[in-house]
Order: sequence, then structure tokens, then C-alpha cells
Amino acid sequence: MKGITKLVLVAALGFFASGCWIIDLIFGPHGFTVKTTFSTPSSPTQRGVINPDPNVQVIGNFQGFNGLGDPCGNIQSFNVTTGSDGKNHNSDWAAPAVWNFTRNGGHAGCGLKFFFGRAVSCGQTATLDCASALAFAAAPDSIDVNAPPATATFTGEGLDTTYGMPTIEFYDEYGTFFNQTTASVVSADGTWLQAAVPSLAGLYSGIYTVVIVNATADGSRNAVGTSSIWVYGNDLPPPPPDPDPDPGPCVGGVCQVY
Amino acid sequence: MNMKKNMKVVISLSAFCLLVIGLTWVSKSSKVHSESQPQAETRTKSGVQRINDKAKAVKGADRAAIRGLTDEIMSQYGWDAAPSAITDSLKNRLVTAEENFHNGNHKGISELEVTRAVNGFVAKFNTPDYSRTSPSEVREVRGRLLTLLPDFVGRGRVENGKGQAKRQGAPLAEMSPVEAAYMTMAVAYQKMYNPDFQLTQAERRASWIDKHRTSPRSLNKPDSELTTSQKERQQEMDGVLRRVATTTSIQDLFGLPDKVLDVLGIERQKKEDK
Repeated sequence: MKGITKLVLVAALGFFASGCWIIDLIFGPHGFTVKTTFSTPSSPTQRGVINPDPNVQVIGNFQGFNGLGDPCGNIQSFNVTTGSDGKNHNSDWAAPAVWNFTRNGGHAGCGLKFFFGRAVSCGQTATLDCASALAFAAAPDSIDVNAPPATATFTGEGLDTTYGMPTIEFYDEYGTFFNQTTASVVSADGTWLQAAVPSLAGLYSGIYTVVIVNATADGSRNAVGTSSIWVYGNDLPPPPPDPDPDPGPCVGGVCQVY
Repeated sequence: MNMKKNMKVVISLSAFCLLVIGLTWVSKSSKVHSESQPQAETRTKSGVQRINDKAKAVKGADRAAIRGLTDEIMSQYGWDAAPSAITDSLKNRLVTAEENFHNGNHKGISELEVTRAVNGFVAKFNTPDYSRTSPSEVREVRGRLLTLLPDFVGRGRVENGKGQAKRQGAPLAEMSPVEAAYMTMAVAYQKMYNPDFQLTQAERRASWIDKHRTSPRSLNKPDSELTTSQKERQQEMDGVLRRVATTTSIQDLFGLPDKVLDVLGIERQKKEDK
């Protein structure tokens, strides 16, 4: 009895671990997966980072088999919601084929997005990405380090002055804290603030991240949103990162091999 | 003996999968049809908002709040599909380490340790050179995620909801165990799926110099098409992931997360702590 329980457990674990690859091995991959993601906004000096976008509604409409193999599914339209990891798989969705997809919801600002004429093969994943915007827009969004404006305005929502003026923190593209300032004016509806631009002396050109933090009763941190500002006019960059080889899993001759 | 054991595993796996195939076969008609799923649990907040909210709720060594944050980040990287016997032990390990971190009894975790954890996969699964990462790349990902998760990334040790005072020129604080686990998953995700991050060290340096050489004046950059080399690498990584999923033993797969936490310097729990 104990042996049977063990075997069932192993089989269940194996099913999870392999995604039941034996099915694919015997019959070939079936259907396909849709994956919803969002990526950080593009910027001139930074790469976009892709993140899972969970619980997004996805509508799929089959346009026709594309003749790139034997059909491996029958369902020709669907309306599903991706899971907590941003994925949804069905081994009966028609492929290899061309599909139109619509995604609705997910990360703030993504809303309704359309993806036309996507070719999907059997067992493949159709990634439906949304390039997101940050919660606050900065004006100006680019500043000459040698002639900075006296003030900057950030527009978004959720600003709260109940316990004091919000704080605006500035970080470089690697998250190094550079400076902070306090808002001088906040609109009554909490949708914009104005703050003095701190001294930018010594800053290199690049993208700077702005984190806006509401004051709280107990002094705890309550970030309300972020924004970006492009600083230019001092192009001498620091040396490129990491001249040494990428480190492996060994430390001081001891290797933690998985 | 070992051979016999392996046979048993293969037979039980096959039997289980055949059972699933049979059930699937019976439950579906072969006609062309459409599928509509009842809406999953209504979620009014995005994944990012949920992480920020749960991070905000962690005001110190509060086990319940830390558990909520840990559940959320693991859920977003697909751990809900794993058997709870495995995830519970991992989560307990992380939650205990995070509690100790906020109590001052666990050191912060560096970008180097996250790098080693990610590069451990490269060594283990013999994945391409462009799937390696470096401390500066991990820092870059943290810098980018700071714009999305300001309540979570680089927060450091928290006491009564307050972090350490920030000084000018200070890098992001060392990571808490939960942030380090999140970053390890986030960086590995970029290496698996993001063509912009599928670069060798030499290519990363060249790209960095190129991006910092000019003085663009606008934040708006048009979306660029993937190059042939990027497409080839994406296809290669798809193949690598399939190979890893189909050739790694179950024992290896389930032992892996604990070993990753070992590399991050997160202690295993003593039996009595569990």
C-alpha cells in the first residue's frame, strides 16, 4: 500500500514537473499556450524588462491553418483569463495556424490590445506583451544638466497631503539614490504636484527614476508612483560594467552545483 | 535496484499521463468548437499592484504579512501549479529567513549571490553563454523594477514600516531573502524570454557603450523589430527549455529550488522549525 502511495506521488510530481511530456513525446505537441506579459517602458539607455502579467482576459480568433504541419487542435475561438503566472494552455486550440488575439486588462494602462495575424505552431507559446507606461508623467521629461529648470511637475493620481507634502526621490538607472526633495504644491484632487529640481551637479547623462512617496501618519513608506526623467549634457560615461568574467556558482573553491 | 526504481518511476509516469490522455479524449468532442471559460477570480488589481500592496503591508518581522508577499511573488512565477508539499517547505524557508532579516538576524543578499544562483542554472543545464548574467545586469534589472515595485525593490530592512535613511550616492540596499528570490526568478525570466537580455558579456558591454554614447533627447523610442540573431536565440532557448523539461530527473527538479536558496545564503530550516 505504501509502495502504491509512493508511486502515485511520484507520478503526480512527475506530471507537474514534466508537463506530462510523455504525451508530447508520444503524440507530438498539441494546442498552444498564451502568455500575457508587460514590459517596462523603453528608454534610450535601458533595456526593457519583461514581467508576467497575471489574470488578463484573452480572446482568440482562428484565422486559418497555415499549412506548416498537421493540425494539432480543433478549438477555433476562445475567451479565457490567464492564470496567476500570466499563462493559459489548451491542448485543443487549433495549430499550426494564424490567430488574432485581443488582451484586456492586466498591468495599469495596458487596457485593450490587439494582436493580428500571429502564427502559432503546435506546442508553442503566443506571448501577448504590453509595453507599459509609468504612473506619473514628468514635465519636462528631459533636463539639461547644465541648465536645469527651477521646478518640475509630475502628473498622475493618488497624491495625498493629509500627513504632509509628498517626497520625490531620485535614482540613477541602477537604482543608486541621488537626491530627494519635497513637493511645493499639490493639486486638491491629488493628480499633480510641483517640486523644485534639486542640484544636478556632477550627474551623468542618462535616465533617472523618480519615486513619489506620500507622507503617512506613522512615518512608514507609501510610494504612490514612479516616473522617469532623461538628463543630458554630461556625456562622459563611467566605465562599462563588469570587466571580469561572469561569476559561476563556485565561491572560494567550494561549488554549489545544482 | 536503482534500475528497478527508475523503471517504476517511468511506468507510473506513463500510466498517469495515459490516464490524463484518456480522460481528455473522453471529455472532448472532435468537432470544431469554441471555448469560453468562466472568468477566473475577479482581480481588480494588477500583479504589480498586488506585490506593492503586500510589500507595503510588511512593516517588520510580521510572519503573516511576509507570507502574503511570498505567496504573491511565487504565484506570479508559476508556483501555484506545484505540489504544496514542495512549495510549502520553500515558502516556510523564505518566510523564516525574511523574518530573521527584518529582526537583524539574517544578512542582506548581494547581487553577486543572485548572479551565482542564476549562473548555476547555466552550469547545471549547459545553457548557452548568452544566458549567463553578471552583478551589474542584476543591478540593472533591480533598477528597472524599482520603477514598478518601489515598495518592494531595494527596501532593505524594515522596522515599524520604516526603512533605513537614504544617503546620497548609496546603491540600492542589499536584498532581503524574499527580494533575492524574486530577483533570481525575474533575471532567469529575462534570460529565458527577453531577447534584449540574451547577450554574452562582450555583447552586453558593446550594447551598454552604444546606448550611453549618444545623447538622445526623447524618452520615446519606437519599438524595434527583432533581429535574425535575436530570433535564433529565442528559438534556441525554447529548445533548451524543452530539453531541460524532458531530460531532467524528477529528483533533480524537486531538489533544485532548495539548492538555489542555498546559493543565495538562505539557511535550511531545522526540523523543529518546520
